[in-house]
Formats: sequence, structure tokens, C-alpha cells
Amino acid sequence: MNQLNRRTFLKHTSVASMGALTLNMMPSQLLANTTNKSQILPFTPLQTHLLNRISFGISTEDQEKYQQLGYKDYIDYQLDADNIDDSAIEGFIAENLLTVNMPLTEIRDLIESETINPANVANELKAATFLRAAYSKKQLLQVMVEFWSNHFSVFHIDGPIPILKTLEDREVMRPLALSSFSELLHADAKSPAMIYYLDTFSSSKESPNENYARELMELHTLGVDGPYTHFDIDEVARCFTGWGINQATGDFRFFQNRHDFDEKKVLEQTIAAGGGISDGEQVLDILAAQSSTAAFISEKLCRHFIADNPDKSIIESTTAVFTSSGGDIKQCLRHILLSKHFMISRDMKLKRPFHFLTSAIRSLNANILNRMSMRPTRFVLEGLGQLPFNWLTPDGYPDVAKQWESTTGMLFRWNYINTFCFNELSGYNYNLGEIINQPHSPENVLSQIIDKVLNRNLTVVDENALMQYLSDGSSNNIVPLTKIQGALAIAMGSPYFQLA
Amino acid sequence: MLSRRNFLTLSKRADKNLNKSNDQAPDLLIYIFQRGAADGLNLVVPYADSNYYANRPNLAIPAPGSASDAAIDLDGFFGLNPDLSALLPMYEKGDLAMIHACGSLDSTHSHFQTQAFVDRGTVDVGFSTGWLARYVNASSTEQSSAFQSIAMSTAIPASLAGADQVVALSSIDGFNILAPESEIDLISEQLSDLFSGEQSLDNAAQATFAAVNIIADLNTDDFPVENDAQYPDSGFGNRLRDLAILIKSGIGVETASVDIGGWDTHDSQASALSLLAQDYANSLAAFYIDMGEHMSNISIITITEFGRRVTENGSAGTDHGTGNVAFVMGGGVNGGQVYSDWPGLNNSDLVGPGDLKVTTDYRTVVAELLDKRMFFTDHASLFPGFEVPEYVGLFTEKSSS
Repeated sequence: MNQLNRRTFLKHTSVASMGALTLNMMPSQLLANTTNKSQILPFTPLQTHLLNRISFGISTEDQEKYQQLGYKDYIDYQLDADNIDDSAIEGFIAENLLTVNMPLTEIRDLIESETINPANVANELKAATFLRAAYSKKQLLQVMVEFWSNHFSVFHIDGPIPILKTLEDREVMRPLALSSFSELLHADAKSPAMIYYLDTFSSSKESPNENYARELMELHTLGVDGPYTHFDIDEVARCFTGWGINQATGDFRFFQNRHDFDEKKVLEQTIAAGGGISDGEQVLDILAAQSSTAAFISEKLCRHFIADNPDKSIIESTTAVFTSSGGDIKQCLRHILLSKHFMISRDMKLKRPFHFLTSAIRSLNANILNRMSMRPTRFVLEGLGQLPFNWLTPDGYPDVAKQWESTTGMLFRWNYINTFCFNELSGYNYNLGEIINQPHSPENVLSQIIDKVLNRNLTVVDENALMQYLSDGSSNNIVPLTKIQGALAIAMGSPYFQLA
Repeated sequence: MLSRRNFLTLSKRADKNLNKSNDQAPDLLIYIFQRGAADGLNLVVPYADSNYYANRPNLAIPAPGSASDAAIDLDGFFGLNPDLSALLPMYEKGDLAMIHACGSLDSTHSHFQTQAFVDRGTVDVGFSTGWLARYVNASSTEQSSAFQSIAMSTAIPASLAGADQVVALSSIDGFNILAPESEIDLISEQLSDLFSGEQSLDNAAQATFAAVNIIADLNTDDFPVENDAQYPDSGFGNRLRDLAILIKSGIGVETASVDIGGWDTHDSQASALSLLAQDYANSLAAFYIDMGEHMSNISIITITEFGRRVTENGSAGTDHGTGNVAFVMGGGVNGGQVYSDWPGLNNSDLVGPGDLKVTTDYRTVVAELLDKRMFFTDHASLFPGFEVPEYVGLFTEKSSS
């Protein structure tokens, strides 16, 4: 049996030190595999494809639910997140990460009495974010919370944001992630974290600060090619003067005395003098209704769910749904997920680091429900470059593979998987016997890795190579634990698991 | 414990002879990007232009001699922000020059758009590759190392997007595969095989194996910091310190890209800019001192996406502007000068919403550097659609072999 694959041969024969590997191979066996140069992975099953894209990793439970409901109903089940019982993980968070659900004034009191510090608050929100991604049953909701948190990105380290982001996450992102774009836009504009981050708090009629005005149009709504000019930026900045933060409570507050009450003109529409807080609200309505906004948000959704460069026709049809539904997020998602563009887009996305990390946890049904696991999780994600809410600039983490497929990116992904699979990552535990049942013969181990961890088939060549890895270390047809862990690390470090 | 040993791969290992004289080889290029739009008017201060003080009643850097925290006079017109004073010796030695009213012709005032434009080197959005990547691809040879072009960062910057070979490395420490001793080679071989297709992910994986292998052979203790250079313990300082090690080790670095972020000072600018300027200057000065005589074959260029509005805003900060200052450093620089076709800061001189006009396109600076120090003259391929004007005269001509 030819167990050494063709690519190994091509690469290794040119180096003397690797010669031993080729000695037991016959030339005819080598030639047999040399026809197909470019590696194309076998198509993922539709179930695996959908679960890859609308979750943070495929758990056994997801698969059972999918098999019970079928493709279309599973999407509707996930979209109807309010009716999914998530009490297990929310209960754990409520008991263990106290500031996540605590009123802002109470958090401040604890900080003032030096019981906690702002970094503790930020870290608890990050921990809740990992844990929800790893264990929530409302997986699509978590995906959309991440999507919008990234769309309306704020930097978790800036000023009072370590505290204010907790409020934003709780009152804007989670409740509204599956609502309408316009509702989300309004709520985000009044979020103290955003008001601080893009300097609206320091903007006044005497000197309007244009930072929020610019990013609101460029990044939140119209897109950089949208129909706005520098004049519009100045006018929008004037509309938002007086929007600020209540120093006592940390909530949104409108300061009349800082607001410019004169007439303004935004995208050719007049905003009458004497308006007050409604000036900014009117701007948000104008922007939410622009066709550029519909197209910009639709393209971003398609990029996230379908491919880095989504086809123009799917962007256009999603834009039409966005427009006719008044920016209804669920309808846009349903349209995308039921489209043929989505169905054929298998393996066209590279999992971003956060997704990669959580999908390994979900696939191995690992337990990270302990304080020990939080620090390593933060370190891993920081090294990989996608710690939640840690992107410095307001454009959010890029949603294309080229950002992540660097040498450091690849290396740190493998090292995360290796340390995890070999049980060297502090606070991470998985029960190998639960995933890979006895008997531990090479064949049985491999078939379980394929069926339970990768949820997809390998090429014959790759299957043979993994088989050889498992067989070489086994005795009496039993693979030792180290080898099983190693095979898991290889499988999950490979394109079969990194792509989605 | 997991072993940190490297595994076997088949990297194409550069056989660069450390002792070979580099006098006829192209300079090593270091491209530093101040992400976020640094306030050039407060870094290299046009103190003799009275409109500078009229526009910045709270934020202006005092004229030389007028205060303890005043600018340091450079040429009777421009002064150096005192937080950049670590760079003064290089300026005085003639190894550092500034180009003022420099920048790009993108007028969107968008960080992301303008950075993309500056990194691509063209307004033509049909080019998805970076100008540095196009240079690297054009100058690459069979002998080029896996480390020919490096980015001292986790991700690959847009300037290097599309490079055939690029190593992104945020630090030397930790750049190795972790696995148990008994499995490390086997796992690495398996992974190498699993990434042997022709997708970009496969290329990234193969570049990683090659780079890890080279770093594993590197003993950093062999290349200590020299000449009592003092790197700040900052992200930027650490990246330059690691870059110095990689260059000294002779693994074949030809171009390097290093970012320093956080320059978007819309509010409370004074303290933020002060810390950043010190970090930038102290790190760069340490690198210069550490590299010693190597600096005669190194050219460093520092740019940012755009400058900041001439008039300060109401939040003790500055908004997005246009023209700015660029820095060039190295043995081949005609330094000790601030080069500028100064457009002035009168209202009538300003462009857009009140910005310093650009009189020198940053590409003119890069083009002169590549031509005179790196023997590369195919400007059209790097900067499509840009007609390079007469050089500013920033660099001395290096003679090729």
C-alpha cells in the first residue's frame, strides 16, 4: 500500500537527509499519484458548510439539531434567537463574570473603592464574549454580535471604554444584532462608548469635531465611495454637537448648551433650525435610507457569509432585500443563506482567528469554563491579532483572508492547536476518550477524526498520510494517546479545518 | 513541556556572505509607516511662518529659544519638536533629512482610503498589490532569501500585499513550532504536505515553514545590541531591535516594513503626540546607533497617510489634513536639511478644508531612493499613472558593481 503521498516525495527527494523516507517506495507507486498537481479539497457536506458559516464552530448538538430540522428550518431556528434557551451559559456568566450584567454606577463604585479596576471589567466582557461564542446555543446571534461589534468598532483600551463597552455590548449589540439596521445605527450613535471613541463628547457649536461625522458616513453607512462631500462632513458634525455622556451615570445625554441650533444641510436635505437632538436623529434616518448604505451593508454581509470577493449579483439582490425590508437584518441573512451563491461558496472563507479558536473548542467539546482559561485565551487571540474589541482604528478587523494568512498568523494558529490538543494550554480541558471512542485502532481513530472533528472527507492521499502517521506509532493495532493527540493537531491545523 | 526544536523543511536558504562588502549592493530599505496621520506641523515646526502660531493658539510648539519646551532650530525656518531630539545628532551628522509639505494626492481625508493608496502607490484601484511588493517581486532572484522582505508585524501590510515571498514576524521570540519532542518533525512534515496546493493559504504555510526553520538556526545572543544603543521598551522599539538582529544575522533581509500606530490625535493631542514622538525618535535613534557602520548601506523612509488640519480643533486636537513631513535616514542621505517647496500657511495658500498643500509627492521621494540607492528605475511599474518629476536631491548616488 502506498502510504507516503506524492507531494511528500516531490518535496523530500531533493534533500539527502530525507532520503530514508523514500526508500521503501517503488517508483511506480510514486508515479501513480503525480498527475493532479493542484490540491482541491473535496466539497464539504452542506450541513458542515452552513454550520461553519453561521456558528463559531460545529458541536455535536448543532449537528443533531440540524438533522432534526433540515437546512431551511435550522436557519429559521437560529434566526429566532429569542426563543432559544440559553440559560446554561448565561447563568454561568451571571454567576462568575459579575460586571457583565452590573449597572454602570455599581461598576464605578467598585472601581472607586478599588475593589476592581477598569481592566477587570474589560477582561470580564472579553471572557463573556469567548464563552458565549463557545457555548451559547444562539450561535448565529453570537456571529452577528461579533459582526456588528466589528462594524461599529470601538477600541477597548481608549479612555473610559473599558467600562462603557460593557454597556454597549449589553444594551446595543446583543439586543439589536438581529433587528433592523436603522435601529442599530440609532442605538450605536447614542452609545457612550462610540460617543467617546469618535470624539462626539468634545464636539460643540464653537468647534464641531468631525471625527464621528466622517466615520459615520465612511464606515457605518454610505461607504467611502458614497455620495458625500467635505461639506456634508462639516454639516453632520454640527448636527451631532451636544451629544455627550452623563458624567454621573455614564449614560447618553444631550447637552443643549453645546448644540448648534442653526439650519444645516446634509446630502442636499435641509435640517431646519431649532431642532436640537432631532438634528442628529434626522441625519441617521437620512443615512439609513440611502441606497449606498443598503449596498454597503449588503456587500459587507455577503463578504462575511459568502466570500472575500462576493459576486456582484448576490450583493445586488441582497441590497434589494435590504431596501424593501427597511434594513431588516433577519430577512437579509435568510436571503443570503438560501442563495445559490452561498451554497456553492464552500471553503471560500478562511476562519478568522477568533472563529478558529472557538471552533476547536466546540469540535472537541472542550471545557474552558474556568478562570484559568481566560488569560491564555486572551494571549492566544492577541498573538493571532483578533482579541475582541482590540482593533485600534474604527474600521474594525478585516474580513478577508489576506489579513490573516501571514507567517505569524499560520504559526500561531498551529501552535494554538498543538498546545490545545496536547493538553498544554492552561485551563483548556477536553476528554479525548469522549471524542475518539475505543478501540483505538488506526482505522477507527482516523474515521472518528473525519466524522466527528472535521465533518468532511479527505482526499485519498491525505487520508493515507494521516493513516501512516497513526500506524507508525501504534503497537498491537492500538494508537498511543500522544499519537491521537498529534493526529488531531494535524487535522485541525490543516486546510480542512482552517477553511470554512 | 513542549519542545521548541525546529523541524525539518526544505526552505531555500539564502547563502548571503556576511563578510561580503555591501558597497555595491542595493541599500537595505526600511519603510516605516506612522499609521493614523501624524501631525507633521508639530513634529517639524514651521516656526518662522507666523500663521502657524495664529492657527494653533493652544497646540503650537514654541519657537526656538522662547520657552523651555521650545522647538530646536534646524535651519532658521523649521524647528524640531523637542520630543524628537534623539534624532538631532543624525541630522547634524548629515544622515537625516526631512521633506516638508510632502504627501499623497488622495483628498478623501479617509485614513483607510489614503493608507491603501499610499501602500498601493497608485490611485488606480485595479492594482491590489502594494508598491513594495512589486519592487520585491521585480528584484527577487534565485538567491533571494525567505527573509528577503519582512514585515515586523502580525499581519502583512498592504504595501507588501501580493509579494511572492514575505515573512510577517511580530517578534523573534516565540517564532517556533510548539509540539512534543517525539512528534514535532512528524507533525510538521504532515502539515507541510497538507498545505502543498497552490492556494494563497498554501503559500503562506510554506513561507512559514521556511521562516521558522531559519529562525531556529539563529542564535540571537550572537548579535547583541551594539554601541550602547538604548531601545525604548515599546512595541516599536522592540520591533526595531529585532529587525537589527535579523539584519546583522545575515539571513538576507533586503526590505523591511515597520509600523508605528496611534497618531490620530483628534483630541488632547499634546500628551499623546509627545509620547509617540519620543517613542518614534528614541527607537529610531537607537536603531541607527546599534547598526553603526551598517547604516552606510541602509536607507530608512518614514511616511504617514496625510497631515493634519492647520487650525487646531475645539477638542485640543487636530482633524484630518493633507500635506505633511516625511523623514529619510541613512548613510546615503544628503542630510542636515529640511527640504521644502513651502506653500505657506496663509488661508489663501491652504487646500481643502484648510490643509497644508502637498508640494512633493511621497512617490518622488521613494523613486529617488530606489533609483540612487537601489539601482531600480522602473518607476512606472511601482507607481502606475505617476510621472516622476525631477528628484529633490535627497540621496547621493550609489555606484553599482
